Amino acid sequence: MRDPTTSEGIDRRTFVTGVAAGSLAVAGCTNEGSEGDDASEGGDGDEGEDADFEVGPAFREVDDPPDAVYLPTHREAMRTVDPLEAGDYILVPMLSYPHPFWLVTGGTGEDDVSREVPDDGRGVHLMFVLRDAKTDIVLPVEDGARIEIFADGEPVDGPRSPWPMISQEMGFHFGDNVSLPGDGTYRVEITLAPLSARTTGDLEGRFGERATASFEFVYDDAFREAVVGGVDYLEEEEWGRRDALEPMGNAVAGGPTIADYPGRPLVAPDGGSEDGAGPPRSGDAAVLGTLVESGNRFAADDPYLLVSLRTPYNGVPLPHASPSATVERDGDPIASEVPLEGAVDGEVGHHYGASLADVRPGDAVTIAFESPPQVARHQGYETAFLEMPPVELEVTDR
Amino acid sequence: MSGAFGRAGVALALALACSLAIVTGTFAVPAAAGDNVAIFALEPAEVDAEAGETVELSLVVGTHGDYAGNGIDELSATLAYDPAVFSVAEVTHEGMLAHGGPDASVDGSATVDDGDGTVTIEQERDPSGDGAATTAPAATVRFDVAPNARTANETIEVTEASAILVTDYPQGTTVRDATVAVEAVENAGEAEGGVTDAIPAPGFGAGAVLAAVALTATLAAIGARRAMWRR
Repeated sequence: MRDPTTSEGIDRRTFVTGVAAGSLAVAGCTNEGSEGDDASEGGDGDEGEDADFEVGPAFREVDDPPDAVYLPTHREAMRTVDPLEAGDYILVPMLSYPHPFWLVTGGTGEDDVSREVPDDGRGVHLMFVLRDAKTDIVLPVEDGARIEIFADGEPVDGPRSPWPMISQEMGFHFGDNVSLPGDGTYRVEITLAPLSARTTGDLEGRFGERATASFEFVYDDAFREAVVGGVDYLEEEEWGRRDALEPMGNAVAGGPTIADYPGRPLVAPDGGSEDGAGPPRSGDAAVLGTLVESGNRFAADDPYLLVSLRTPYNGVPLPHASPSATVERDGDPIASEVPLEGAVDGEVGHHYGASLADVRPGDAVTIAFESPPQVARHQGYETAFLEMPPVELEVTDR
Repeated sequence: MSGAFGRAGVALALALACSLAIVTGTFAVPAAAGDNVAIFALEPAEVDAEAGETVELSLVVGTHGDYAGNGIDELSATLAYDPAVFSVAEVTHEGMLAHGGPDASVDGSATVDDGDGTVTIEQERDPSGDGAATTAPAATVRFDVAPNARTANETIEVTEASAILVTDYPQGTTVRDATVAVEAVENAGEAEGGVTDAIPAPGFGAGAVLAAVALTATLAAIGARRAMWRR
C-alpha cells in the first residue's frame, strides 16, 4: 500500500477556474461556439461561484406527471417501530429520511397545492398509521394530534401538529419532517385527541378519550444508511405511468369492494371508469356508492347513502373531502346538495354518508365535491384528487 | 495537475461538464439511493494509450446536494484496474469538494494497492460548512501503462463510491467507468515513456458535444454503468 498523493490541499484558483469553465461549458452545450469560451479562460473565482451551473436534474423526479395517480420514481425505505397500544388505538410509527410532500391548501387547482420541502436535511420523516385495536380498521386522524420529541428528557421539537397524509406505500397516515440536532436516542410522545369522525358499527361510541403513546428511536449512521440505502428505484420508463406502488404490509390494503357493501349498489349510467372496468372516477378518485335500506347500523330510521371515495389501484380511503349528494327522479329534485358526512365503520371503514328518505331504485344520484380531500400527498398522489367533477350514479334494484 | 488550469484545463472542464450535462439523464438509475444522487464519472470515458505511456483520468463528481440545499463534505471512490497492465503513478486531489466555501479546503488521501489493482481516494471538506454542490473534478489519477502491455481494451472501474452530505445522510451514487484502448508496441524494450493526455482536443463546440454523445452511446453499449452506495 502506498499513498501517491501529490496535492493534499486545494489550490483555490484551480478550483474556481474549473467551476467557471463548467458553467460556461453548459452554456456551450446548448449554444455552440459562444463567445463565452474565451472568457472562461481568464475567469476569476467570483464569476465561477456566481454562475448558473446546471448539469442535470437536481433530483430524480417525474417530468410533467399526469393529473392522476402515477408511479413515482422510487419506493421509499423506512424503519417500522413495533406497534404501540394507546387505549383503543394501535399506533404504528415509521421513520424515513426527510423528503418533500405536497399540501393541499383548500382549492382544486395547481396553485392550491404547495410543495413542502424539508427545512433541514438533518432529521427524519416521522409517520404514523392509526388503527382500531379491535377491528384493525385504519382511523382518519384530522386535527388535534400532537407530537413532541425529547432527548435526554429535554424537548427538542414540538409540540407540533402532524399532517394527515396519503402515500401509495402507506395509505392514510399522519406525519411530518422533523429536524434533529444530532445523533442520539430520541423519545417521541404522541397525544391523540378524541376522534372527530362519526363512528358506526363496532366503532360506535369509542375513541372519545384522549390517548397517549411514546417510543424511542436511535438516529445514527446505521439508521441513515438503512433508510437511504433501502430506497428502490423503479425503471425510468415506469416513472409517471398511471398506476400505483403496491402498499406495504402496515398500510391499509384498501377498503371492501362494492360487492362487500351492504345495500343496493349505485352504478354509473355511462359504465364507470375510463376503461369501464371499475367504478367511476372523479379527479382519478374512485367513487363507490350504495344505498343501505332503513334499519341499518349507519342511520336511525331512513335509508343511508354510503359513498366510498378512494384511491384507484390501492383502494385507500380518501378522508377530509366535502362531498354532497343530489337526488333526482325523472328530472325532478328529491334531495339537493345534501352534505355527506365523514364516518368510520367497523366493517367498511372510512366513508361518507347521509340519511336520505324516499330514495328508490332508478333515482339519479349526483355526487359533487365542494373541496377535494384535504390531505397532504406523497409523490404519485400530488396531482390527483384535486379537480373533482361531479359523478353521476343511479340506484339499482339489485 | 495541481496548478491552475491552462487552456487545456479549461477545455477539459468544458468537455467534462458538457458530457455530464448530456449523460446525466442516461446514467443507470441508482439501485439503492435516496432521491438525490451524486455522479462519479471517470473522464474521459474512452482514451487511447500505447504500452509504456501514462494515462491521465479525472474523477469527476457531480451533486446538487439535498432538498434543503446541503452539499456533501465527504466522498470516496475506489478505482479498480488490471495490475498487469496499469500501475498508479500519481493521484492529485482536485477542488470539487471545496466548492462554495471561501475558506474550505480538501483533505485527501489515496491508498494504492497495485497488487490487487485498486486505488481508493478519500476526501473530506474542511470546514464542512454547507458542503459542496457542483460538478467538477475531485481527483486526477495518472496510470502508467506497462511497457509489455498487449493490445486490448482495458476497463478502469469505479467499484465503490460514497458521497456524504453535511447532514451525515449518504447520497445515492451513480458511477461511470473508463475504457483505455491499449496498443502494444512492437519492441517493448524500446518503448519510450510518454503521457497520453486525457484532455480532449482544445476548443469547444460541436466536436465536444458529439464526443460526449459518442461516449454516452459507447457506455450504454458496453454496459459499463452501475450504481451503488456505501458509507
